[in-house]
Amino acid sequence: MKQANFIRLLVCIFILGLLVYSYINEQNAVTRYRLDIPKLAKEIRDLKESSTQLQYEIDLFESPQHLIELARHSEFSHLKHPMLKEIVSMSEGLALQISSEERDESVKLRTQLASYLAIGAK
Amino acid sequence: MTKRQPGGAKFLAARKRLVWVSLSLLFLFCLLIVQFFRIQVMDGEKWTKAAKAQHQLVVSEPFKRGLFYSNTSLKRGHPESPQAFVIDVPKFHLFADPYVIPPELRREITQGLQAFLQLDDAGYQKLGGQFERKSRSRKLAMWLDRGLMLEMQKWWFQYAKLKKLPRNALFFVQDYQRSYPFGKLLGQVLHTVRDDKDPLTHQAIPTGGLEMIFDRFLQGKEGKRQILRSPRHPLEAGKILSSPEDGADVHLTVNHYLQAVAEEEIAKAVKNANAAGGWAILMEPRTGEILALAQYPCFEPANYAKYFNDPQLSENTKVKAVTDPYEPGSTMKPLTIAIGLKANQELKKQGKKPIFSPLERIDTSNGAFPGRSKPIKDTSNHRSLNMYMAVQKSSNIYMARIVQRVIEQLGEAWYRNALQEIFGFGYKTGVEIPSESPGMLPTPGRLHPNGKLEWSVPTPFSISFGHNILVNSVQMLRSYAILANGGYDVRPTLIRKIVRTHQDGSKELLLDNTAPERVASYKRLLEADIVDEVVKAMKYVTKPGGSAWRADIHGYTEVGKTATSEKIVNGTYSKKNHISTFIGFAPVKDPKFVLLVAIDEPESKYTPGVGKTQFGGVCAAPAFREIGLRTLEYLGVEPDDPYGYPLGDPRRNEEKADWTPEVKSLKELYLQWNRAK
Repeated sequence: MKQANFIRLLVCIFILGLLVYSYINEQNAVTRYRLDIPKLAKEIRDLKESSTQLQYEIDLFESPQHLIELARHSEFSHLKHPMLKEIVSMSEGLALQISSEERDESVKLRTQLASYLAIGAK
Repeated sequence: MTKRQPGGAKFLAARKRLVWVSLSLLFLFCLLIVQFFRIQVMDGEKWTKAAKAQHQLVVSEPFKRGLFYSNTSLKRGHPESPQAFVIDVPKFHLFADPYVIPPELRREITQGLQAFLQLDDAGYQKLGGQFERKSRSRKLAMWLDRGLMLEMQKWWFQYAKLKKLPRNALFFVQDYQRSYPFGKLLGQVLHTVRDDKDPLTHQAIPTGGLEMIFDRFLQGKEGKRQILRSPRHPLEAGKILSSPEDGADVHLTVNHYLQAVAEEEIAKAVKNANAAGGWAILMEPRTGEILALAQYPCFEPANYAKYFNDPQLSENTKVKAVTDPYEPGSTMKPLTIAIGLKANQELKKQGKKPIFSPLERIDTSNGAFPGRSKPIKDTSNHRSLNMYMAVQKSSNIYMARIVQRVIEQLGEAWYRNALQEIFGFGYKTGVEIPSESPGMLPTPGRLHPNGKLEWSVPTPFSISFGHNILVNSVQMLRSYAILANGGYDVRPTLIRKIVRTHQDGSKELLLDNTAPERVASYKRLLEADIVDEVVKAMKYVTKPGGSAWRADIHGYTEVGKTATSEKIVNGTYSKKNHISTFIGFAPVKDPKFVLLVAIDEPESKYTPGVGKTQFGGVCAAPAFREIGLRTLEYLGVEPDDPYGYPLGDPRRNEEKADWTPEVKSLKELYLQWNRAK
């Protein structure tokens, strides 16, 4: 009888030990994540800032004054602003439903309109 | 083992001692409780504060000031991606703590920093002087790039380790610099913020323009974060007491591409005319959305200090189209005939005869008018003209005759009221630019600063051709927009909407000028038939025989009117200093824009084959054509006058070109009435 109680007590202690271990392990994992948060937050902040810096540099290059200058170069002389009637707009849903025949038509139309790309209008 | 007897003397003594010890312990415990009560309850607030001061720190969380965005929704098929005119780029300021830097190392550190900052001798001396100040925080350099900051930091950490100096003897503070990817584009309108900030609120201090007008929207709110003073608790792990709130973004009506076109063309026109300056305003005539507002010479917001430190350059920091009133000259004439036609309708309502008919032949040989010591003159003498010829030839006498008839039939007050209530002269337009001038519409009975009456007998005749009245350019543009949009009121604006983006990504609309109700609320000011007649008359101006054929936009229909006004210098009209303008719109049937071009003080000389270079038809009209053509092309508007091209162009067909028969027949009639006897 005493032996059976002893075994029960051992099992309980073992299970309790396991639970305590798993709890502490979880806590350690949480702590590790918590320690990572500041590093990740700094990384995100740095990425956002370098993205802003890059956006600024892209805009410097793509400024309308610069694009107008570029458009005057002979290699871009084929570009022009498209007329409103030359712009084909369609809703996303309609574009997805397009049949293969219509798709061929649309490829033709796209080729035809390729030379009417808008310039200086980023 | 001996058993103690309860009644024994030893036992009693021990018991007594026990009681005393217990009482002493109880007393001490009570003292502890009292002390505990005093510390925790009575002085709790004080000690909590002290503990927090020792272990906790509250730091500010930076916010971003609101940005200005271009209007990218002008044409169908145009990408809607937002395009900012200004970007807040992260930069760093370098500070020193001279208190902890030994004097013998200061020179060496200054030399080390000079290599990074590339300072001249004066800059080096100034930098060295900062280390001699008795301060814990001296600003050594501003607006350093991240790359340079990292290089300097690397050098400094090595140096500090070598010399056993505290690492934070030099430190960097992050800030956001207002940066302009498009440089001077829209400079006068946007303006900028000062390098220093308000020391109390940490808010940026605007220098003018939209930055100043919308400062309360652009301002953000600093956040607060509580952190523990422990190396194991970096700043980011702290508890957020209040989140920072970024400023609201202002979405402008100005399109960056059209602005660049207008700035390029106005600069070209000013240089060609050898003028002191110039400006151009492009506006949508129905909504009043200003699509471009260009001015030359320019103002570079990034170098604002240079402009404000030089009295001559500081002139370039203001938007002259809004702040500087001028006499509109001949651009007033289409408005005069509109008022004349309005008077006809008023008289018809009263059951009286109209004062004139557009086709009526009116004598313009005699410029004598009541109250005038000198007769009114035209640039060329015309014996008689009808309304269309008068606008085409820009006759002063014809306009004065019309106003004379208006006054005779309806009175001066009716005429003045029409100028004020229909065209808004004397009132501010409300465009969102600081220091707008309302101009000056003469008031009967009021005196000028020189003591003369603002409104006397000849005043209305002078106003008829744009003299004795001061207007700002936006007022004039609005007047022409009323003609362009079929006679409806319009309120010029630079703002489409103001949007605040919250931390959770949700957007709050603080101001919306794009709502259809805004345009729907505009009342009719002129009847459609009046507008049609005025527009018809203006069509002759840009055609052969008109005063501004250089404004003809090839391939498109357009109307407009030119003006050359003498500037008032030291209280008198100057024969040398002029302000030349052209205002018009295109295409005529469905105008996409109304455009004003003004050239300030063009060179006054005679060029063979061109004429007098100061005339609006010579110096302002070509800029109108170029800006107009490039705007219509950008907007994708199909040419509505496909045969209206200049001589030598294979697309030209004189028979089919717009308004050619009308111009021919008007010319024949003019010659018939004005042929030399």
